Amino acid sequence: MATDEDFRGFFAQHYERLCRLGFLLTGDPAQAEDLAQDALVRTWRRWRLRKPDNPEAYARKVLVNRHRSLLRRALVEARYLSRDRPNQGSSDEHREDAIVLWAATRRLPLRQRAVLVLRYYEDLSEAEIARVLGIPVGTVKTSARRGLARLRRSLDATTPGHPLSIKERS
Amino acid sequence: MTLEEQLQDAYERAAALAPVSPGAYDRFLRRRARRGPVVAAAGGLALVAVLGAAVLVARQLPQEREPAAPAANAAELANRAATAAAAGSIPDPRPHQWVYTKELTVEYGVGKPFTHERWVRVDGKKYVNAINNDLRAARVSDVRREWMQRASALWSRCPPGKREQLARIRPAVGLGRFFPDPSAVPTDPDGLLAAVYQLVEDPACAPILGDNVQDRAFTLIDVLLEGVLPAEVRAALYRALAKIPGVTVAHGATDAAGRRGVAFTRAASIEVPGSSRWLRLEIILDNDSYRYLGARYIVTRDHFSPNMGPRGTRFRKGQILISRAQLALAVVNAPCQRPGETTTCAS
Repeated sequence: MATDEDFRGFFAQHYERLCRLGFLLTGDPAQAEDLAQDALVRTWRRWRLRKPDNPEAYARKVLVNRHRSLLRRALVEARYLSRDRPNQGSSDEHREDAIVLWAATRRLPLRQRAVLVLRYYEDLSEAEIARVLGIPVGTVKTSARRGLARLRRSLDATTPGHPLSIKERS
Repeated sequence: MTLEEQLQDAYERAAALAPVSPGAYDRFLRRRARRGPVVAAAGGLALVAVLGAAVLVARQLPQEREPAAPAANAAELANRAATAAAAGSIPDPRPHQWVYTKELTVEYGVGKPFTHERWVRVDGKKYVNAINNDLRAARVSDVRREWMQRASALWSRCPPGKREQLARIRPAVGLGRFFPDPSAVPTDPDGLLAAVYQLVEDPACAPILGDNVQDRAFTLIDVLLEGVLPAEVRAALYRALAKIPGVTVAHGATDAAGRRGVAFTRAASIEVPGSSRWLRLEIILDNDSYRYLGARYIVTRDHFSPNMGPRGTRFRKGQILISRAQLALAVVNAPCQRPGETTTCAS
């Protein structure tokens, strides 16, 4: 079936990116894949009826909206932070600022985090983010400003070269 | 670099950590075929999980035992649990063995139940994770690097000397899991509780998040109870729990696998600051053997969080937020080895 083959191509092209977006939103690899799979099942259902004009944006919107509640984030991270539940995978050259920023992002309120991830990972405009999240552009701007301010503070709080610097230790 | 550029860099790096397991399209096809209405499918899976657990419970029920009268208060429950704990435990593992845990988690209202298996080498230096029994992507990782990364971000406001001590790699068993010097920790309930309080007193240096020192102590003991502990330490932890202000007994607590038990409970927070004002944690023990079963978070009053989700999230009193069940706790000889099985993965 032509639709199926089209979709398979679309899947191959976008699956990984959706997983990564899911990971930035949830901080949990298994949930990230779950979100990506779910978003693609829903996209496929829509596609079967009529292919969306921009299936990638459609899938992304579904994914972001599926990831909606405190539950996914807070529940996982509450355990993540309190338990020996390290992330799968890590990288030697992961720089300290990047680590601090990512850790601080994970602690942002969900809306601020979603706005920043869509802005700086997905490279969406403020208007596009407003459409994806279903909120006014003004709210997007406010969330971005507050989120950035918090991240800046977290970066300032970590002085360079403190005793736990990864570079010095690894 | 501007902050914006730094963020782009940070997110690219973080996103690159997200592993994409093989066979994604096949899983997609199965899911596509399987899933009718999504909610119904999730319910079905939860049911399967519960049924699976029922079988497990049936197998583990002790035979011909007179049910004890319910514990009237936390101190009585602590006494019974401590007595049961002192009677038996897993023998001290050797440094190169591995602590194996398997946990079922149900997050109500989102996703489907999942299991999380974890192997942590007894010396605390290596670990393996597996989600939903899938060992294909499992590989042995280095705790040290992960730990340092996390520690540097989490403890940025903790004074350097103390921070370094906290971030040390510690053994995966016993009090050493949290305490920099476990040999200095008393194992009488009062002394142990004082040591726990001291460890979590300063929120900037505490290895556990929480709204206040009692909240953090309660959660920290829950985490300790999930692990392999010497019998006397486990017994002391139960008695210490009952001494934390606000701890009471909840009967009829059910873990994620549907096993009913009895619980220590008190106000406790998840990662969201202030959430202990509307949440409590139940630490659930078996009704009869007082074995650790799991834990769950329950909403204690209606609450609306405007910042969670694009339109905020509403929580209802009585709602269960997350529920866990410990399905296995064992010491094994190699990573990826399950009790009674021989499969391992390279270390």
